[in-house]
Amino acid sequence: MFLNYFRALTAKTVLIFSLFFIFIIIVLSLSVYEFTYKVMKKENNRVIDIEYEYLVKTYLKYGPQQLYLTINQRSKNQNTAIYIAADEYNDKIAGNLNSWPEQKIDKDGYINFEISRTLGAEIITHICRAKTIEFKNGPKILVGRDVQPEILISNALTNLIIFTIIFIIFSGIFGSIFLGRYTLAKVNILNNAIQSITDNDLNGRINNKIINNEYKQIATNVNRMLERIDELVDNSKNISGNIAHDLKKPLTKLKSNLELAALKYKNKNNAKYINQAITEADNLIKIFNALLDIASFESEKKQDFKTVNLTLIINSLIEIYKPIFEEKKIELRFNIEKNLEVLGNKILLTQSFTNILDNAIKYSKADKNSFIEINLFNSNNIVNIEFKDNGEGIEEKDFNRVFDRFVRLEKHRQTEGNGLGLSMVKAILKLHEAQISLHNNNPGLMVKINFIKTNQ
Amino acid sequence: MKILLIEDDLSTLNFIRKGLKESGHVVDGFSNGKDGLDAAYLNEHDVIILDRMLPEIDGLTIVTKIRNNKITTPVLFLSALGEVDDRVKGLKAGGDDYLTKPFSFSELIARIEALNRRQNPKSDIDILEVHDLLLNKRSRKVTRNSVLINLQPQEYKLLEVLMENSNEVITRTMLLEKVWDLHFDPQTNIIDVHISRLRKKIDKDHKVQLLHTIRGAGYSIQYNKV
Repeated sequence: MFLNYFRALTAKTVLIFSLFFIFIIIVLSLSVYEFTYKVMKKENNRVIDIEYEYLVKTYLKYGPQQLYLTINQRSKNQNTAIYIAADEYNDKIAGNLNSWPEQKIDKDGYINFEISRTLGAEIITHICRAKTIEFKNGPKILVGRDVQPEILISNALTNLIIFTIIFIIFSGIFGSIFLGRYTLAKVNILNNAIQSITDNDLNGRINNKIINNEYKQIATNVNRMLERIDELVDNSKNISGNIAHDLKKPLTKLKSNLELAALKYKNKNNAKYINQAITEADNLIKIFNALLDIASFESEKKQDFKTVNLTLIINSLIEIYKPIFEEKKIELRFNIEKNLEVLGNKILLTQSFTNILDNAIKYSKADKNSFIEINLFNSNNIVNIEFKDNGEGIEEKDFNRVFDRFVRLEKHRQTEGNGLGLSMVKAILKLHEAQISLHNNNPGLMVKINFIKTNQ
Repeated sequence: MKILLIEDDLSTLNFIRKGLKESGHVVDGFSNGKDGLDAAYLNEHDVIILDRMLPEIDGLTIVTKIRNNKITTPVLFLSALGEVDDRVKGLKAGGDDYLTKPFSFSELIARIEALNRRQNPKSDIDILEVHDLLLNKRSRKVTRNSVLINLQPQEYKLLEVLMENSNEVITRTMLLEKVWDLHFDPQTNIIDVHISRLRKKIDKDHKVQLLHTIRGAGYSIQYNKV
């Protein structure tokens, strides 16, 4: 789940900037290191060199006794300077160092060693650096300095760098989690709101009181866009509704007059044409009625619904359709759970189930193994109805399209129908807050309807 | 039959009047609710055809008023308001039947004739009879020429509705409503299938065919040739 936060663009930006900062800190620290530690070291070495040369000159000019004297004098006054003169057996002759240290010469020609000092009761070790020389047939001397401050500064710098890098890494990670979470949360509020509005056929708006800043602007604009879409949809709905309504009246009159004519010419040959015209008018009126019905279902809120027994509806449909199944040699399978009830309008629900059943019959194949299966069952307080067949079926890409008005699939152009049946079904079920979905039954189609159950 | 027609749209009023006269009925037509109500109070009509929405007094009020005055003339509502709720309102107010515009004439005529028969209903009679076909409502037994016919419940119901309206045309819509309680026309031709099954049982092997298909109108059970 934390990984999700890192996916947010803001989080990535923060991480990238953190890396950049780490890089800058490293560069900066190296320069500081160069300018402090290295300069200090050079300065120490220079002091060592001056002392060394002075003592060498003293020996060469005035001999060993003067050298020992000078060393002892200097040892007294100095705290950081270290001197020792020793004979060939490493035994101390003069100086403030107790014994000749182990020699390790570094690349610059200096030796490095540790000394123990007492500071009150405490014994502390210091790092020292020195230069040595062994005179021919004479003593050897060591001139050096306590370079502990150098070490301390170097350690402090290293610690500072490590601490800063760790701090930046952590603040980068937590910062990106926080920012990622923050932006994701805001974007998710927008996303969820937009998604639920889309699922809900553009009903509802984003509550822009729960978000601030630039996201609020987006929310406000999306809301404005939805208002505009709503207006347009309403307009187009009203227009098609008005057209259907206005054309119904003249059509009715046309039909009535045709019927009058049919009565008058009952026994003449021309009656055939009049009757055909009446049938055509009937079909048109049916289409208009269906359009008006769908429009009214779509715009209506739940009417005063009553408890409807789906078991009774389905059973009576099975009863009504039994002879048709026998006639068409379609095997009917069904599994109907008892007393399943939902809130609804019985007539409308019956109509939508009939439409689905009519389709299943219409597109069943005319062979011996045709079957239609109807299942009604309750699972997790959801009432399910399934209509399965092994007929022609519908390609998956058309599953959503077939619910649109006037959509008829290419292969069904020749069969009877107006392309409004499933739109009607969907509108009715939507009014009931039920969901309808199509599935492949391999072969054939399965229509699935889900009702949220109202009683226990 | 003497029919009172109250409809505010003059052209609708005229063609209904024309059509009813063609079918041999006497029609009194009014285009506003007040005149219509006055005419209804005379209580001299066999059937009242009433538009729901009328100027001055609307259809629902008219029905309520005449029913309060103990006038029992059957009322057929005619309305563009076809929603289930509208139907229920109309029937609850005292209407006897409800026809949604647009309607077909044959439907209108079949319905008002059925309403008229309700005044002296056959539904009170236990035994319905058409020629040698007998239906006993008590025992739910059907015989033709004294031979018992075994009918499925739905076939029985269909036959009963047809025989209660014998010699009259029953439209497909009326059958769907009365026999199967379906208030719309399914794509599948259920009526044809059920009728042909019933026909096989009652008319097959008989010289005289009783169950007739009336083209463009509906079905009828009668002895006379159509």
